[in-house]
Amino acid sequence: VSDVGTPADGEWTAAAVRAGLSAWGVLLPDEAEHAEVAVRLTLLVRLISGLAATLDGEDLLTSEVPALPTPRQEDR
Amino acid sequence: MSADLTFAGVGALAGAYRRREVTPEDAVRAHLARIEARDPHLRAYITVTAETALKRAAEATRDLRAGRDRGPLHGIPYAVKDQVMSAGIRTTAGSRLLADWIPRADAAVIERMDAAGAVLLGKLNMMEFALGRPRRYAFGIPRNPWNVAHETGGSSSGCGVAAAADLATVTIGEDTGGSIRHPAAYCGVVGLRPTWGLVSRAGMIPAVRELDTLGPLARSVEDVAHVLGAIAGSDPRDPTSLPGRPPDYPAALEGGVRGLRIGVVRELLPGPELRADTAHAVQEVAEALTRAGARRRDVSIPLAVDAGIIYTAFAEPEAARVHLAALRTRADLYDANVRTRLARGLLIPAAASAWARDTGRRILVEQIAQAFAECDLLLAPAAPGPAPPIDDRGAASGSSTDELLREFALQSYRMPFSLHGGPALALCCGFSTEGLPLGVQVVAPPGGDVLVLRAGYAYQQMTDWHTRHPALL
Repeated sequence: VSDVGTPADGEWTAAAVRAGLSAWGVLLPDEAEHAEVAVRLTLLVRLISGLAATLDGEDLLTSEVPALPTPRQEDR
Repeated sequence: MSADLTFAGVGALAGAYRRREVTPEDAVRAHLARIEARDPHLRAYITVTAETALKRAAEATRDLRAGRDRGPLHGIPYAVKDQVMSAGIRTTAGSRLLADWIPRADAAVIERMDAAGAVLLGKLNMMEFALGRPRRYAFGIPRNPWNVAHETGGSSSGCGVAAAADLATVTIGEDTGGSIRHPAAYCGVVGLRPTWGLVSRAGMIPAVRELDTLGPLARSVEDVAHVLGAIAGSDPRDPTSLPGRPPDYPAALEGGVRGLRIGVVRELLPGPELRADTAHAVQEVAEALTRAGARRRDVSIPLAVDAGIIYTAFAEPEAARVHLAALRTRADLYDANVRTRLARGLLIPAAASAWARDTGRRILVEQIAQAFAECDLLLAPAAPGPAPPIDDRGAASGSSTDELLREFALQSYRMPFSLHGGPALALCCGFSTEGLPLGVQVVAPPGGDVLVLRAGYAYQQMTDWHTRHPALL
């Protein structure tokens, strides 16, 4: 299972949940469940991010992928 | 035997069979009668296999008379969580999705109980797919035998009820994040999560493959040891099963606790949401073991109180992966609480899940290993209090931030040891003023199953909590 449209600020909305699940081909039968998932997901991601930051200084929400080196002409 | 056959443990029944005072048929009939009378209200069972049980009991009786004795579990009535496949008997995993599924083969644990001569009474109620508290149980709400208005714990709910209400002599459940220890604590029985890999999971419907562990629940540590002896051992069909031949668990029970170092986990005693009665009862367990010759010390596992967060971020994506195909086509058949958990599992960022799995879990396991450098066994509450009242309004689980934080807090007691992978034994250590059981937990490093059984047995020799039976209406 990999990332599907993680909001950059870690704040999930019902619409983001609906879109994310749609990408997996999953539909929740009750519309209210999207909002419920959004609350649960936002809290969990913030808690686990807080733990990661506290325990080994890793920022799971905002860390940026370093720019990859451009292939040199002679490597092509 | 003068006492009700359903109250007898393995040792008492086995002795009575061999003295020809009663037969396996007598014991099985007594259990089936009790199930018929009590279970419509308690809902421990999803399926009762009366006909095949009577047939097997008759065979067990004939075999004993003919001198074909298969050992202590010969003719012992047992039941198994409905997460375990049973040939020719429907296996639902507590879900409407599998309401009519009849497997063609038995799971390894059923094969082994069969080989030991035990008689299967039926399949036990559980939380859907062992994935946490459902909004509604698909096959009826299981009720706590000590007070039917209260919860049973789970996900091996029916195992706790059946063991406490004498609806089976022994049961087999499954523990992923605490699913054996939770109902054991709430229902006042003994529940063992064995070392991960000790019991084959071949033929078991998975919850979270890296954590799922089958194990026994019963009234006494002795009975739990008998079942573990029958079901433990390597199995080529389960690549995660541990090699080697397990020891004779019942024979090791008398080892006692003299000289053992008992580490009381500071972060859990007192811990989140812990009630005073439970804290007092667990302190008394530490004192009892000290009187029996153990040495008490306090140890620290700082990350224990965050174990629920790590567990969830690690486990839910794995559970979601298992259920993805069914979620795509039959999401409406899942319980709403389970469905929203699985949906969250699909969306947990890979960075969060990977950190929980690779780093969070590693740090927690290292902290537990450091604690074990100072002691042989850990002691902690198995639950922060007695079973709460059943909320049968069908409310959503954890719909506010405060409720969600409380859910994580409650997971502090059992999930650290699920993530650790060593054996953890939950047992009754007293009763609340409302008459509900309180639970303690004894934990050892991986492979230390004998140690937790010895400590639990020593405690039960000093106390009589396990001899009490609920006054069922």
